[in-house]
Amino acid sequence: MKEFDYHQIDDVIHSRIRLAIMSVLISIDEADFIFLREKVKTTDGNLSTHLKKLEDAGYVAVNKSFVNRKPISRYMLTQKGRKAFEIYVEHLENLIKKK
Amino acid sequence: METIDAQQELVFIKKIMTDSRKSAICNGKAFILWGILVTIGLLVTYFSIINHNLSVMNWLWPSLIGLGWIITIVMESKAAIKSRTKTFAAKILAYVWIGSGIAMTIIGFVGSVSGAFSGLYINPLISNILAVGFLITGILYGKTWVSLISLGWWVGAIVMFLWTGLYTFLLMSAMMILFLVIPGVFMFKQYKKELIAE
Repeated sequence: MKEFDYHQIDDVIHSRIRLAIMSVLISIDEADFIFLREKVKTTDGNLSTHLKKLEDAGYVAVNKSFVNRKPISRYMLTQKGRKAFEIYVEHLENLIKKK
Repeated sequence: METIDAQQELVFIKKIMTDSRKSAICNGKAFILWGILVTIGLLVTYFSIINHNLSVMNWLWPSLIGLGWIITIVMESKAAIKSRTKTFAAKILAYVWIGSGIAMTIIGFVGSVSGAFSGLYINPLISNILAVGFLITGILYGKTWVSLISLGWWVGAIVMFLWTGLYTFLLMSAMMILFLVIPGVFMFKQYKKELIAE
């Protein structure tokens, strides 16, 4: 089984949870925290930590608002995040082709 | 850093993307609402023509269509605020039906009032627009059975264009129940099921 060439891949995306977050957000325009938590199947704290890393890298943007006085955080991919995800998937595909 | 096989990684990405895209984009409520309102309008129109009581027409359709738009706007605005996701497909779908609704309202009111065409042609024209709406909805919704409903609307349009007559109000009422209300109920049940599953 061939493994990743770690020098070529994006460390920010290369984590199961962050990859899952990116995969959810690439398929839909916008998702709130609860939706992401259910799709990614992780805890609130874990999800927050990984979302913060993606935000810091400029891959994910957050829009905070109030609905019925409850705070809602909606997350979306930025252009930079979209591009990074595309490159990441391209790397994976190239690795498979080289096999 | 853990080692993950590239192929497994791609399968993982694809699974999550497919799963996320499954999020309901149509709850069917608007189909049920409009199907019921228009069926009421069609049946009242049919019986008022039979009974030579056309005065009811002055308020019937403006009230029904006005009520339909008001309820739809309130209902969809609430749903948009509550919605946990925003998808491109849902956005396209909303605009397809807003556009279709405006076109049908124009055909129903302006077309008939201006005398551009006989009122008997309103039903087949609207049937055509609904066919296009269902075809696109089925594709975006990812359900072939929804797209196939458009065939019913198109066949109905051909029948109503070829054989005009008062019966078209009854035929259109039956089509409204069969091709709008019932699919709407199925979509609503599916939507509820997906909400519970989430």
